[in-house]
Amino acid sequence: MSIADFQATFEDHSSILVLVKCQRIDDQRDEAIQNVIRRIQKLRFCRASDVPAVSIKYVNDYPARRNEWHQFQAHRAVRGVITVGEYRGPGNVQWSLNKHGELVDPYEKTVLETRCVFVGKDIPTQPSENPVNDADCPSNLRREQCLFYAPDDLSQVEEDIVDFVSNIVIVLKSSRIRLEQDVNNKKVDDKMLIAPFEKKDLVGLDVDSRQYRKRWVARNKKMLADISLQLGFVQEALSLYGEVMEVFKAVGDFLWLGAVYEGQCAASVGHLTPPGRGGGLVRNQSFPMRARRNTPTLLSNPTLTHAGSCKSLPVDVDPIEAKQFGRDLLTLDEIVDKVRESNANYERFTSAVGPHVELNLKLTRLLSTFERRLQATDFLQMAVVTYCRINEGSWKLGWYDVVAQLYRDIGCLRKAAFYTRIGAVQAARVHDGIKANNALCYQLMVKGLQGYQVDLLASNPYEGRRWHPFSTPQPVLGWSRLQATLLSDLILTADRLQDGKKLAAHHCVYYLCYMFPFLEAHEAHQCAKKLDELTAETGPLLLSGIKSDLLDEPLPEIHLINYPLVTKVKPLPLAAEPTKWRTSTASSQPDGGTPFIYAPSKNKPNARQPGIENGGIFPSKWVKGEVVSVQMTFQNAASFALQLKDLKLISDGNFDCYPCSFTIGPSERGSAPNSLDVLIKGTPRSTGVIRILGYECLVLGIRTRCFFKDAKWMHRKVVPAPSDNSKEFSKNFEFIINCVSELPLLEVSGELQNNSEITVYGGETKNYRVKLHNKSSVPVEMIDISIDGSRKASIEWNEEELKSQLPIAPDATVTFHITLTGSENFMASQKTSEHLRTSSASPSPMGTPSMRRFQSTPNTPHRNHFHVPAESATDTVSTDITISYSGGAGMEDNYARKCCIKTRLTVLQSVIITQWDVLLADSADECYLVLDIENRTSHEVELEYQEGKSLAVEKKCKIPVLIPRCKPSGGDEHLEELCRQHIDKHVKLKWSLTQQQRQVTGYANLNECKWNPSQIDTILSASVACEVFLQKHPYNSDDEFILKMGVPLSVQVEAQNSSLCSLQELLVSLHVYQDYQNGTTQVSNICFHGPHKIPIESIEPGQKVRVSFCLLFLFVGDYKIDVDCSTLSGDCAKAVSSQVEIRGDTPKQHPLWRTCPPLKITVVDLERDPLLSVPL
Amino acid sequence: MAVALALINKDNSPLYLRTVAEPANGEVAHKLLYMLHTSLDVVEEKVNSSVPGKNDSRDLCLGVLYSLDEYKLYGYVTNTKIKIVIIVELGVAVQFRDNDLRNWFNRLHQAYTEVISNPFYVAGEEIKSKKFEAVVNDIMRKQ
Repeated sequence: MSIADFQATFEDHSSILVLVKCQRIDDQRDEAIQNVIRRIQKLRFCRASDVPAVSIKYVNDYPARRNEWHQFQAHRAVRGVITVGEYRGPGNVQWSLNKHGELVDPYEKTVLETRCVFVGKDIPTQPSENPVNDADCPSNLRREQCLFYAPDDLSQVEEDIVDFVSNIVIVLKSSRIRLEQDVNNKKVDDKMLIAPFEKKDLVGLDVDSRQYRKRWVARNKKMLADISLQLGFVQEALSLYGEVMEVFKAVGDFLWLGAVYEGQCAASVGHLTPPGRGGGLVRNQSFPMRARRNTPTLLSNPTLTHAGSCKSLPVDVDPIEAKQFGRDLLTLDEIVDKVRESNANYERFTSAVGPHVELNLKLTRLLSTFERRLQATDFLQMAVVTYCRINEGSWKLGWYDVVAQLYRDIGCLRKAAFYTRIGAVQAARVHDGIKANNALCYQLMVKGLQGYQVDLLASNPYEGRRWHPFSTPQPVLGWSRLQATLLSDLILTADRLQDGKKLAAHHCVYYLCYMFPFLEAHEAHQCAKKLDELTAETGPLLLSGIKSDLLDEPLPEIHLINYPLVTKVKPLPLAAEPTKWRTSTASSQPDGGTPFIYAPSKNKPNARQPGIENGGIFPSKWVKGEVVSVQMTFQNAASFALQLKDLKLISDGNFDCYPCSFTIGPSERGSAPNSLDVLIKGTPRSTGVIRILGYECLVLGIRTRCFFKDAKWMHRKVVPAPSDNSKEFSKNFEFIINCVSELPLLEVSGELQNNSEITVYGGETKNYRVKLHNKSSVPVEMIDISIDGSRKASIEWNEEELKSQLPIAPDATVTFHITLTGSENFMASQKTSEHLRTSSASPSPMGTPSMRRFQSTPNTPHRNHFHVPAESATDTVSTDITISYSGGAGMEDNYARKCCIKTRLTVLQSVIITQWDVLLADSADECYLVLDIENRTSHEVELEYQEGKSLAVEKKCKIPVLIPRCKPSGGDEHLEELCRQHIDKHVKLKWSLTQQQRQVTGYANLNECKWNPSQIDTILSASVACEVFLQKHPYNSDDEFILKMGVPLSVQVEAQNSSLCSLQELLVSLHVYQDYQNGTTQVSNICFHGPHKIPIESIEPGQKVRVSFCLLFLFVGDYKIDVDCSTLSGDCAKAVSSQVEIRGDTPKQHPLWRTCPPLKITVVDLERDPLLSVPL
Repeated sequence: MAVALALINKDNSPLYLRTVAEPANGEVAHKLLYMLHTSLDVVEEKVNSSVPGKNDSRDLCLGVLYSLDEYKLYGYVTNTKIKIVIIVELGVAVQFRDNDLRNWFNRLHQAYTEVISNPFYVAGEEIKSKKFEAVVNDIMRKQ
């Protein structure tokens, strides 16, 4: 125990010091004894034997060294001792009495009264039964001074204590009177009052010298003042202090002068009004409390007389004395000044360090209550400096604690933290044989951390911090350098504790996690090593709820969440994702079930969430019982490698995760953190929702659990909209994955591989065998195949073959075939055909399209020859063959899987038809398709265009294909389509080529061929077949028909209905003209005998009707006759009519048949040209 | 001469810290840091206790915060409660005038104002400005 009382206050000067000791028979803490002691100590003030109120200061321990200063300052003397012990019957009393004697002995010089208190159940009820005999008592105890209390009846305690204090007061009073007399009579003896270290100074001092006498009197007067102050006579004490002050100054007794100043301050303190208290009380103006000291002439001042007659003072108070008292009282500022002076005096004496330090502490406390904080810190600092200077190197038990507490009271929390830390450091040192107290050191260190903004108890120190743990810290929070030092010291201290490994590990994790941005690479590395060492001793640790007696509260759970740092988490969809088998319209909505087409509120969170990486609802589904994986990206920004063991996902739902272990290498400072992608696998064990909330692993020996919602850096970019519910928002930081029932899994093999490149020529057919192997334990019950992609090739499969093999049992294989045909537009490009059309619309020499048509003979082609630009030979497109299948429980839930055969299909051009036309064949029932074929391959192509007819095509060729003409059935059908089908049926253009010793065969078709109306007319066989008779002979166009001028020509037309329906309102007409072969025709020089148009009512199918015309040529020349059979009702040719509209007198006419070519008649004049002999 | 300098934000976290101590000499650096940290108590006290007449709101300089055997600490508080603390080493036979100190503080204040005028500076971040650094260097090197 130090010589200075760290708890000293100015009030101590005016209190009587009483030592209360607990006598312990054994180490048991007796509640009853403590209760009595508490009861005793409650009595702080008492009024006894006509003195003003006396205050009592109780101490439990008082060093005898300090008691030696009792002559210097009276309040340092122990005046009374109370020992409290247990009463265990009369036999035990003697021990207690002896103990009491021992306890009192060191203070015998000053103790005025003692009490020995016994607490017990069987105490004597009557004083006569007192088991204590005077003979047994030690010299300093009498029988009456022993008190007995029952634990349940302590009512007597207060009374006894008052009695005890009164006794002390009486003795003090008497000694005061004696002193007063001695001082007044100047009964100087050789016993001067001294401070303990002054003994040697007095040796050989002349007792009779004037100096000595002065000092003797002054010191005794000061003692008198001290005692007066203790007894409550403040006024007297102050005046006495005032008197002796001058004497001490004069004789140069500076130590005592300092004590006088201190006494003055102490006496004045009780009369100061603390701030906030008594402020509202209106002071009696006449009460001279605040009379200024700098008016020494006050006594002679006339106002004094006025004061003397003052009626407002109490009756027995002398107004002059009161005035003087007011002058002697010090104000707070004066107290500060006095203490400064006192300090200066004490400073001269190195041995007076106790009172010196105490004085400063006293003033600090006083100033702190008066909220003069800056001044208080000054004096506290002075105390610290004094204490350090003198006791350098020695252990100051409790000193820094007191200093820190005082700073805390003042409000200087940082200073307090600083001294707490110094105290901690001191506690850990070995001083003068006292062992280092690590526990205390640790406790103090933890306490000190608060001043540095380090809160070990904060459950989430990241809360409210904006920064990313590995980026530049922003903003800089706290004094990072200091914090780092403190924490590393704390770790070391905790490690030294007996059971502090867990604490140390906790602090290590705290240090690594929350100080990381501020740590140097080597610091972090060291800490990690330390953690490794710690956990090597203790085994893997889970740092949660660590309790210690040294801590007020258990430490919160902590996890090493940024070693390593998870930056990205992404659940991966299964290779064969389950999909809805057939999505009905309602469930096709992504959110399932909203009847609205677009629901903005539903879509909003998705818009904010770019992907599953931020958490959220996983778009794909997992399948129960199948291995699924989650991809996680870890970053290690530390300069050391991190080994992660037993990494598992934390999930809500029935999910088995397979733990994995790996190591992430170190990263270099300044470069990007080392990152590693890890796949964590697991299996869902049930259907329904699985939530992945975080992960856990063992790193650096610490079992760490990290929830994604805590890993703020992962969702730094997602800023919550103000309207968002915070609960909803937090949901975004977990992964919600739907699991569906078991589904089969097929493996596709065979000739058609995934991602295969297929090359076919247009029209070529290829056959593939596809094998499906069921790898799962669920049978495949349904299969559906769909084709997605280009229409460049037609893909067909044998549905029957496939369906017949269902269901596919687990581990079984089925085979089916897929046929692939390269389909191509065999026609030249569209542009060409458009060109064609424009050319056909060019004005005909006849002026009317109908005229022009009759000129379209093979000899006079009405089309030009176009150069067809070579099209790109290869055209590659991707074609997906999707096989959807399902089975088992998954099928019942309407889920299926798809496997896709993706192919790259290249269709090469084989042959191309650049131009086409239709010509009538010899027979009216047949026609020729004349096709210009171009070979687009790099090989020679053998083209079989008709049965038995084939030719080799090198580059280009023209082929005639003879087909029967198409007979319309008479129904209301589209004629062009009819023609197409007809052609498709009859034209088989089989091409074959040899490529790399492989025979490639294919069929070209004319499906894309555009036929113009006249061509269609030609292809379609006429519904009316007419035969023309000239002069009753059938006309043959090959023979020349010569007619003598002036001879009438009879033209008979026999029309036969060759169609299947009856024809109505037919009109047969003749048109005769002269063709000059230069674009001009002349219709004259002819005379009809009879009509030139003859109507026919109707012709039934198969019926023949003959009509006759007669005409006469008036001049010689070459004539041509068109025989025309048309219908007015347009029954059959309705569709054609719209396209083939003939401009003429009767626009409603629809031609059914025409002579083609026209009849040619040469008219000669026999008389002029007798050489000609024509049989007429 | 000035041995340490700190610019501290209104929440008492440092924005800028600089000591003359060698980086290797951690003890001295720590000592200075502790001093700077604890000086905040005094700054706070001075700012909060407004003695009428004495604390002229226009005078931002707080004067001596506290003095030790070797060092003296001076403080300055801007109107936005940004604190500037300078530790001056005593004992060096250099005449040190109050005017110099005011000049230093004014220059630092000016430099800080320029730092926060930078649109790329996020308030509350650690100050990393060459211009500011130059001013600090000048002050630390002087005398």
